[in-house]
Amino acid sequence: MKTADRVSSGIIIAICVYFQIRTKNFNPLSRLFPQVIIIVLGGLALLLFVMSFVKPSEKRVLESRDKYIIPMLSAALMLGWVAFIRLTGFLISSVIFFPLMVVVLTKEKSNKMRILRNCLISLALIAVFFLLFSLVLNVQFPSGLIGLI
Amino acid sequence: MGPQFGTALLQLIHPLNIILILVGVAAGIIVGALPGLTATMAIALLVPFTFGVSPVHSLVLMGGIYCGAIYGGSFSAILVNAPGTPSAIATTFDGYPLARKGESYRAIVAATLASVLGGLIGVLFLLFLSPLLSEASLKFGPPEFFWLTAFGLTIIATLASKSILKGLIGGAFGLLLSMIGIAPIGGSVRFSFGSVSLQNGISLIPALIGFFCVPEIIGMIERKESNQNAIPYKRQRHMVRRVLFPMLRKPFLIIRSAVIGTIVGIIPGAGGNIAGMVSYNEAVRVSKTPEKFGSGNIDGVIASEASNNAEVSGSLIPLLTLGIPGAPPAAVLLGALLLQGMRPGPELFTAHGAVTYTFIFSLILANLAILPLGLALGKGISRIMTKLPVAILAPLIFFLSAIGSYVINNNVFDVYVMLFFGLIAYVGKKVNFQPGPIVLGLILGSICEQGLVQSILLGRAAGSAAGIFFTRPISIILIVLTLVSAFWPLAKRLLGRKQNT
Repeated sequence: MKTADRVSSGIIIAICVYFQIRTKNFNPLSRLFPQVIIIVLGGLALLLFVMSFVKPSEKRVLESRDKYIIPMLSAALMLGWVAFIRLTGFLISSVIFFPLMVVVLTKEKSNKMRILRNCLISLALIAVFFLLFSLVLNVQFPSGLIGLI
Repeated sequence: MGPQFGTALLQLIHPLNIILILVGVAAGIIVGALPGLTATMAIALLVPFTFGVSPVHSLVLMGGIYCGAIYGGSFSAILVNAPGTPSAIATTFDGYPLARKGESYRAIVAATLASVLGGLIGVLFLLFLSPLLSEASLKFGPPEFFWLTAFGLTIIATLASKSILKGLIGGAFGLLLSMIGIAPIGGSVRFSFGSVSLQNGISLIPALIGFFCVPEIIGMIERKESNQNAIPYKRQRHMVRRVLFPMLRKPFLIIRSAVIGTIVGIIPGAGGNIAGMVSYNEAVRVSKTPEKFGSGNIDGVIASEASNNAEVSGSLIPLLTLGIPGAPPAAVLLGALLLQGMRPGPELFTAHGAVTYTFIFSLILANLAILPLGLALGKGISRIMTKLPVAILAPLIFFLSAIGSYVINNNVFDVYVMLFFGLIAYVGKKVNFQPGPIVLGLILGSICEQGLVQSILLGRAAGSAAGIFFTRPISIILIVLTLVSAFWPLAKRLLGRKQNT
């Protein structure tokens, strides 16, 4: 935990320095509150940095690397899902990535029927919510650069 | 008032209005229970449909949805640790630990009863004290808003749980994030990194969804990988009685929480997002066993839920009397009122008195309807949430979070905001930075800044920039509350040590 505290306090101090430099272009009234908060935040981050040397570490931040493979893959799929919205539109992006996540998360990979069932359920859920919001509630979802749907 | 009361009561018991209240509450509960979808979104999507409908029908329907959605957020807060609506954030603190202990049904029943009782108390304030409370809210000037936010920020000590220092850092970081966009005083475009979307600042609801839903989605996947047990959900007989009687033996918990929710709801800008947190903080502060909060204390669920449902009526007080919404859903209701040709203010209680009182009375029925509808729908909702495999539930929550974030402003950028802050919150939680303090800073930051800078300007004009902060009666009350809230935990610890030695 002490390494994590040092890294996080370092990042926060770097953010404070960067934001402080940016405040130079603001007018005095717009600059007042940010500068106060940046000083407070920077001071607290410095205190955290110092405390990381004083207090002994307690627990490991990351327990076992294997445990994080699927969650990290899922997070990457979420990133891809959101990134693709601009390109392919909300519906197509969901149709691609929702079932992909379902396949990744289905534990019994050898059970193809279960995977198929879960994918079909996911597609049905996408259809229900998409139709509800777009047709009934008149929400205009982004259709992306391709502009298919 | 007399004849309008009678007309309002007659209108209220019209079968169509009763049906609309029940449909509204049921729809609101379902929307609120789905993480990512919010009460604001539900009401906003419904407003265009009310254009051709009579004012009474549209208002009772939206009132039902508002009450139901705020309550519905407790389901996913308790069962999935992802608040269904931002107002249920504090419900996760003890609701989810209770669910992990096998007491999910007890937590849900407690949330239901607390919502009903808190909501009813809030409506009584709305009905009888609106003019007085709205007059009091007019006395809030910039110094009062500054001290109010300072008081709100002292809640960080409670939200920080493991590390006060990291909580303070989180709160300050949230305040910094709130400054992105055009400065409220001065008008400089701050920290927008050249992005046009960031010039309007960070959209609050998508950020809240990100902070609380995305870490929970990834956490759910981690627990699945570790083969940790799913949340058991089992209905038990006579649970309503078993929860209600102990609750009634602690009347101050419900009343205090409802009063806090109503007052926070009245203050424009504060909103239901923090009503639950403030009430939770007070429940911890006055408890004889504060260490039991955060690990499955039913009082934590009761405090949060009573408060956030009372906040519904609280937010309507300045809306109906002054045209100033106390919370985001109330802001949408303002649009609905104007669409119907009803201007908030004294005229609403005179020229449109029958409609207004019908709406207020309908909130009583809506809150009462939460009990049977909540328990009935809750059975199905809870079964789905606990039985649905994580392989489907996790992506579904993300899908709904993306929809909920997009629909607020019809802006894809908000979906990016949701995911960005979600991933930051996930990493932050790993190193003990809780999202609660960050969210608190983000919500209160702009109100705090506006209060501070405007006060300084007013003070300079009056001859003393600092004096204005300490010479107004309401400010002094808020300063005392802030000091008590900030130093009480320390004082309690010192007193405890003294008694032991």
